[in-house]
Amino acid sequence: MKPSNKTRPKIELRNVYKIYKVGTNDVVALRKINLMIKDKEFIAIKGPSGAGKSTLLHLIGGLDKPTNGRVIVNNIDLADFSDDQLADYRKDYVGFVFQFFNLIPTLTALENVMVPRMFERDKNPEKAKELLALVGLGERMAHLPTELSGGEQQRVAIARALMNNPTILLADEPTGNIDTKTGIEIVRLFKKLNKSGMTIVLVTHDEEIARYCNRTISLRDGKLSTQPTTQPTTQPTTQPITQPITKTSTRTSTRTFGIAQSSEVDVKKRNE
Amino acid sequence: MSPNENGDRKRSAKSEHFEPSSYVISNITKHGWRSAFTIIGIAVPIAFFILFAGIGDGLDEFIESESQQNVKDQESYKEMSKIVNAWTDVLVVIIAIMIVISITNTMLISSLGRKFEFGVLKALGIRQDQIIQLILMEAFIISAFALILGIILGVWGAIVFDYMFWQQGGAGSFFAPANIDLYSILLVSILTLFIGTITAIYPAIRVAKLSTIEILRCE
Repeated sequence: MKPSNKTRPKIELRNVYKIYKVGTNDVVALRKINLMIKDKEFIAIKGPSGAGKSTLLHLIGGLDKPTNGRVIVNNIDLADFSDDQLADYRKDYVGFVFQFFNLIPTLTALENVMVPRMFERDKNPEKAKELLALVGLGERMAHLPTELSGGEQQRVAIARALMNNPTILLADEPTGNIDTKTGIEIVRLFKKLNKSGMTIVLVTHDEEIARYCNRTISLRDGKLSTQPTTQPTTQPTTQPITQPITKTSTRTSTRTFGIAQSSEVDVKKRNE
Repeated sequence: MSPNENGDRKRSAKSEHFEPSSYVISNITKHGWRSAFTIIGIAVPIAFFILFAGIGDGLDEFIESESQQNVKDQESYKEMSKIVNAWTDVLVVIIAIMIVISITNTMLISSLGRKFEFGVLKALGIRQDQIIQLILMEAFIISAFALILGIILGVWGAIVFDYMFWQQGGAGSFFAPANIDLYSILLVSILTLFIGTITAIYPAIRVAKLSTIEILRCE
């Protein structure tokens, strides 16, 4: 069963268990998770290593299936999907951002952003360029990942995640492998995307990063340890969120990029 | 404009037409040495195939011309021809099997070595059949390059063989001339491109079926 059109997401996990077999032992990664993520929510998942944060993210992204329980997106149980349908779900609805960027080393920044659409008829190179400009890399499109800094690589990865106009953005410790200042810039970009209507689930260890989110949940030993109420955060830094993203944290640039315009277009497209 | 800027512009212009074939070619060209060794690894058996098929054909032709001059020993010449043909066929089949194993092995190592990359593609919404398509396309392109190189080496080998052991040795030479056999070139072309691509199906399916989550978690 495949959703017929792009509607706003509502993610629901009902009694989700995930158990991995390691040799002859069963390792419980998630146990009895009940979680609802509202449309346009910006949620942080915190917890120590091995708590099950990434597993939870992978279940929402359709990369894995729960051992028990249900993962429901837009009232559709992902367990009903075949592998190909899950691939289509990821392509059409989900954008992934990984801790180690996971760019294809042989491709330029622009090609990396275009990868999700390489099998589509409409490659939409203009959109890819627009996204790279949006993340402040308009002048570095022809560079290979090895020619970019960690922060720049992560920006390319974010542009790649946005290429198919996803309604859900899943970020697995996106600031874990870059310096704090760049990390803050990245999370500000997420905040802007969230304000434009995107639902964002962010896995992080960093308390300061988590403060940008509307809600924080904690996982410990595969269990939800707290379920705080939805609470918009106060901004921890003095720089306003509306300030455009500059090219990099360390370089100065005369070009700046805002998100509002293209995001509004995206939202309109989705509503159509 | 600096050379770097010029290069960037060229790369940027190329990127705008980003097709699955662009992805595959970029992977082959940017892993230059690895691709070169892969292509040579497949081209060498192809060259031997063409050389041995040529030697067999030349020997057969030589026996036939000798038999026409020596009418008395017709039966023994026919027997000799049969033995030569049988041994050449066995050799050619062995080399053909080597080509198939070489391509399968190469594609398996190459694909499994990049399983993380394919895992990322799957996470981005690329379907299993599309991953298989990428790997088969890569096998076809590598086979085509190897075929061209193999034909060049094989034909050159046959010419050198002919010159060194036949023309230099003259009529009393132990060896017969090596013919450049168009039939064997056609056969090895079909074998390499068709079987080469088909044998890549196994590594392609193996990689495409790997669990995305296990790949991503391993790294």
